[in-house]
Amino acid sequence: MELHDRLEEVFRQVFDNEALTLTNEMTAPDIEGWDSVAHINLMFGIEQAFGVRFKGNELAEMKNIGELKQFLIGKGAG
Amino acid sequence: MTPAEAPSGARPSPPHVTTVCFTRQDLARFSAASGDRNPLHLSEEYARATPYGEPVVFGMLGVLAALGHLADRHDRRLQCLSVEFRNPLSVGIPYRLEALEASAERACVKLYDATRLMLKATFTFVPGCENACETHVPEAACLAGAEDRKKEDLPAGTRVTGVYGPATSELVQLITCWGLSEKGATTRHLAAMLWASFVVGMKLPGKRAVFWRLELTFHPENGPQHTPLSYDVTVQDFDERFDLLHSAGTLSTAATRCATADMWAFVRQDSPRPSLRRLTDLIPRSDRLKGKVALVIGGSRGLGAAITQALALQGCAVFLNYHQCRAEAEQIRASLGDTSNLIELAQGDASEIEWCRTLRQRIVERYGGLDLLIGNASPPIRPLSFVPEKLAQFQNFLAQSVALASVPMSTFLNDLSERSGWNVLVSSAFVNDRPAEWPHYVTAKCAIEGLAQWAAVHSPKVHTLIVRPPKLLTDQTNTTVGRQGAMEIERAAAAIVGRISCPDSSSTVQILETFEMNPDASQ
Repeated sequence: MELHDRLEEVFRQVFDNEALTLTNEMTAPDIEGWDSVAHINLMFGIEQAFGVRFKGNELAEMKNIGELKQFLIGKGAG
Repeated sequence: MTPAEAPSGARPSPPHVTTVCFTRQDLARFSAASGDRNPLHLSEEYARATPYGEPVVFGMLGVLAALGHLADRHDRRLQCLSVEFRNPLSVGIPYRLEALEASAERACVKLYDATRLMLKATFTFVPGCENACETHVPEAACLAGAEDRKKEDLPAGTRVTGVYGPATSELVQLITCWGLSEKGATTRHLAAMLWASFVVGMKLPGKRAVFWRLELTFHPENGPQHTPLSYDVTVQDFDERFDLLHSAGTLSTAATRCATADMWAFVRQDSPRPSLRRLTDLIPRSDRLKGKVALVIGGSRGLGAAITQALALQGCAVFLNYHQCRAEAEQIRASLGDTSNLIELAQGDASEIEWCRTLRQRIVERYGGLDLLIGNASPPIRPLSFVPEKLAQFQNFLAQSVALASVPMSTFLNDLSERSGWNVLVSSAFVNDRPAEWPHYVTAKCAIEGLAQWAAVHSPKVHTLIVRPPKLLTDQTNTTVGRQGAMEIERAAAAIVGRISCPDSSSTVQILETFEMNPDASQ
């Protein structure tokens, strides 16, 4: 499965939305329910799915989904 | 409790979607059965000083409600339970329960508050006929209180062991109330579920726990029925990024494992308390407000506590109003040392007219009037979706918020006018930012600001200050993510007291929304 699809699956699980479709330009306010608890769930979901580990609150500093994907590729998760 | 249907007796197959609502009685019953007496679930006063503001429903009680709404499974036995506790459940809120029964072997139940997912429990069953809630689990009373372990007390390898057994009669009540018989779960299964709640809430980490995830595997019931259950749990990891504790352990009878569990829980940090030293750095002691009298509504914790201290540091006599947190109110008074005699505690509900009238009489008899009214109180603030089914909560929050501001204001406005005093309303930067999940809070703050503006026009001798602080580090925001980017309360308090200490302040409405210290105010 492509990185995009795997990431989308994590987002769908975390945000409990089977219809959620990710685009590179998406940011947190674009996704309903992205609150502080969901943020932690998302971090753990991504860590588990891709075998990576965020430093501190690195995820919050990323500009959009595209940047998150680049981060995962950089970590060899692609 | 309260599933929508009658809780006991023969039950029809549960509907696919239904409503559940938890009561204080449910919490008491669950606590008595499980031995989980974590005060976050049971003590109004304790819970008030947490980010949740009110007692939280035991997460495992939500799981029992979920299990009770599954179809009967006479020829299956529960093998695995996986739970995500997404958001804390509250008492008195009707939650939508969706039970998705993929097969006889697998079911997933989700609890929603409107569109917000609160809890997700996945049950896995295997063929088997241990389907009775008649197996016996010996009671093992634990009378000790919840342990108070901070993160530094929880290195990997920390181990707790003991004997566990739920209270039999209360467990039977739970089974009856939530319709748990015939669901593929034996008494021992249920005991293991209660045990997980007990371990997290009472032992690892104990009092500071906020249960986040559970993976529970049940093993075939081969061990003796009348031997007490014993547990052995060890800390696996403490994730410093989120203050998240991962523990794993077993529940056994004799030498036979009954259940194995992986449990994750956030470890709450200490409530933030204002620092007198930090305040005096920002606004040094002076006599600028000597002879003045202030009333701080909601002065025992957070910004109100810091304002109380800052006023007393300027020589002001302060009536510190608190509703439930007496210990915190007394701590704030005691923290002032030599100047603690300037603080008088005023316990009561500031939204009650009679209470405000009585307090006014007390203040007038003692000091002849009031110079400063600080409106800082708010009902507990929880995120809320703006959808028709949540409007009752929306309106209730709005009514409580407006009452907490309007009742003291209407009681004391003439007194403030007589002394050309200050009417200070603590609003929020959220009136500009308008975050998605706070429609009730933004509306309430806008309403209160409107009232202050109106009062300024009709009581022109009163100075009005509307304060719009950004997110502050308070009990409300004292969560793993909430703390990030939160401003210290001392800075906001010093800015407020600095502003009202300025003798040449105009009588027009002032809005304080930047919190860099004015050098003149801190001299």
